[in-house]
Amino acid sequence: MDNWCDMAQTELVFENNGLLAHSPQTHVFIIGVGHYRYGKGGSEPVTPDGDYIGQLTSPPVSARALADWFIRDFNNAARPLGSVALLLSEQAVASTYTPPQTALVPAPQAYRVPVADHAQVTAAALAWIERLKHNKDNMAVFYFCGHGMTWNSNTTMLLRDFGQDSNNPIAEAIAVDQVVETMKNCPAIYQAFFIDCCRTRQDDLLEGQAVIGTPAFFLTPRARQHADVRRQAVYYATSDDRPAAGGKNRTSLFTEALMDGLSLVAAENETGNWVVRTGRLVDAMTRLVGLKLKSAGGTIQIPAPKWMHSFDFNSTQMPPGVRTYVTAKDTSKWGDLHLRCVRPSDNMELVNEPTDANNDPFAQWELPLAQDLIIEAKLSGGATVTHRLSTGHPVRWVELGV
Amino acid sequence: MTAFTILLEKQMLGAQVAAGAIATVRMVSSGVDSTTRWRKQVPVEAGFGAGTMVDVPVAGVYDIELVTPSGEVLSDQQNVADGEIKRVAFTVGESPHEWLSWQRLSGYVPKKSAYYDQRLWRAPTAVNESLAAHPEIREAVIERNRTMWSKVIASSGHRSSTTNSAFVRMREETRTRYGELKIVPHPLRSKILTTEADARILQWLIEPEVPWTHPDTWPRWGFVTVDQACELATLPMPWTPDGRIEVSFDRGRPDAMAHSTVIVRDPQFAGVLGYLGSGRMDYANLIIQADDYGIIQSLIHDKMMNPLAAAGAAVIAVLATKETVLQRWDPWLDNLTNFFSWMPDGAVVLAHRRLQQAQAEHEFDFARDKFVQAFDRGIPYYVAALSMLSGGLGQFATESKEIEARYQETVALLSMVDPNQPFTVIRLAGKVGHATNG
Repeated sequence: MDNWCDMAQTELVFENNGLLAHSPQTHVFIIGVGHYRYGKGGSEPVTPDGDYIGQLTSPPVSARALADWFIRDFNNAARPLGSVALLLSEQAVASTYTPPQTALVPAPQAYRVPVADHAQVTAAALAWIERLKHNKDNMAVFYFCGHGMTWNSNTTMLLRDFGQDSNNPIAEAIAVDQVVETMKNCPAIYQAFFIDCCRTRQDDLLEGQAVIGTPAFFLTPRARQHADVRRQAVYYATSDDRPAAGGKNRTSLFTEALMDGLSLVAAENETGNWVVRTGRLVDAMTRLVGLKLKSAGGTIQIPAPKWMHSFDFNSTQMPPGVRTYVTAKDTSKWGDLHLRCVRPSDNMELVNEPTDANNDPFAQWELPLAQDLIIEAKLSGGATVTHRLSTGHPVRWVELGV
Repeated sequence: MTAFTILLEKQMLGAQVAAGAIATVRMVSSGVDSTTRWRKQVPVEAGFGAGTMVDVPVAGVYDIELVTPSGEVLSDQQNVADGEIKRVAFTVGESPHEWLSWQRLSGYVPKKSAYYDQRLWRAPTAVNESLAAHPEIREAVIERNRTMWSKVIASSGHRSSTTNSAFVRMREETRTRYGELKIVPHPLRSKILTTEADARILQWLIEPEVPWTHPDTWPRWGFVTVDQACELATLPMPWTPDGRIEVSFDRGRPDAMAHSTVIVRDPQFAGVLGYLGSGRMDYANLIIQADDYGIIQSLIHDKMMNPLAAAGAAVIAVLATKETVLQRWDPWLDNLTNFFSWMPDGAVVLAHRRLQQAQAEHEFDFARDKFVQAFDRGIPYYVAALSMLSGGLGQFATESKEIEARYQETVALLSMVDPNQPFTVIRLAGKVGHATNG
């Protein structure tokens, strides 16, 4: 294990040196804020404004998982991965990150990454913008996971030192709209923003504030280099006045759905290759999040797009089997069901399992490709419901009529 | 012919909505070996009709996925035989009331089963306890938002910015069980056809009375007062032909959103407005660009008939376009700006488009000046146009104090607007605050 004191600090945890310097590339910028120094339970005495927020464990886990995903799984031939920048805020004195081993990273080394306070986020963002300027066909990917606040329709992303300055408590925050608007002057045509935070209101703190946050960068239109339309796809983890879920020390629901969507669920093969486009990704993530929150009515967290341009984001490979999500119309009966999946052509039983009311109200199976199957759900009272299914990629969704 | 007829089934709309949802039909298996799978994405009908026919290349198993304007994703798998035309109907759930059918289609209200179950409702505030019965409190609310109110009055065809004179121009006939709608300005050419209410939602249905000739005397805002909330809802009039406007106040919506929603009962355009409200420019654009509907052509080209719908189509076309080279609709944006000075949205769209295309200094200057002109025309009808205005002014805010001031005012306004619906609804004050978790 490397000693973090010996490591040089850099946000650049992946850099693809095999690409031509000015070729089209994808540059990823990831922020994960779990530790809020002035929040409840933080490393400093809690301030009146910091008192609005507590500590989170999911954002650093989610940010690392997404960085792993990009380095290991991202595939875009037109805009291959050029760099991944990562900033974290954790209780630890210093955060480190070790990329996964891949062909491009044969001997991964640990990096000490900067803390996600406003000064370091600004410095890293400016470097990210410089990388993006090298080619107009670049793709910019921005991801934030942490606390968010909303005053009316303005959502702001809270950084590590939020609440430090009682005269300007929102200094350590960045407004989402400001980032998205100013990025219209960034030369990179393709831009995706993933905002994984709550959008619950904080009227006491934010009421009457027109701009909630301090810009990390400002790009002017007269310096934008070219007039091609910027294709922006903006994803909020949740809709206005809604929380976003993330389990303790686990990847958040939105980020998990994002990675599932990019890897498999949102893929289409119109051209012979399995490609995920940004528009389709919204629908896939809506289904995935809705499925996982089905027992709560599926309405607590609904991913919300804004100004959705659809463009190719990722190419992927299909697994040999077909991922199949099976759920019930009435989730209160989930624990009373016994599920079977059979292939009628040879009467082969592929699945035979009871459901558990203590688990999420859905089952996830890998079924064989290109098969006509029957799924049976037997209620504890004896009645049986059947569902016919033809399997095909990328995934199947089955809602049993019970 | 082998085909599906696909329908988003919705009763009680009183009309077939031509493009009420987007369907994606994907081949699963057909007996034809192929590395690629056939796929087609089309707008489909909503209502209670025959549905939209979608031809498929061969018999086989297909996945059919429907995305509603509110973002709900529904799916089904169907096997179609050679020569068969198979009907596939989806449903978004029954409306809580017949009069909420359009609201349900747009996703603004939940289905009947969730409408009553999710929350327990205390009795609404009685009229005498509501702000509706306390003009002095309401005046104070407006006083707190004086700049806003000045713009509201200016954008409704009146130049006076005094609160008293504004109220004189309101129509005093719309008080219902626990709230009221006043229409600004007066005189006007519209009438409220019906008011409906239950413990959760109040709704007014408004229609034009006579053909429009002087747009600056048309109603511009509905001033809604329910419980302790005051909101200003855009009345997108004139909307032709026979465009009836619904203004609903839902006490069950989260306080971060506006409680008021505005719907145009327009069978041709309802789906487009829904996707515009939910931020799905890709789907909205799919509808307006589809040759079957020819909406972009008819709306922007035939703008004299329905300039507000034309402006909506222009907003979508400009936000969804991937090209800066001249499009067939580009010249019409100038006409939208020049012919309809009462409608700020035309100038906003033109400014946004010219900024997209700008390369030379004078082109940037032109775009900047159009944003300023748009601001000076008042508050845009569409939220997307307001957002474009804010973004545009923000980009030039460092160039002069005058632009900076306009930018700050627009940002302040935008922060009070509900981004989750197509038309501008401004929250002035107050919460409903009468819902309790059940």
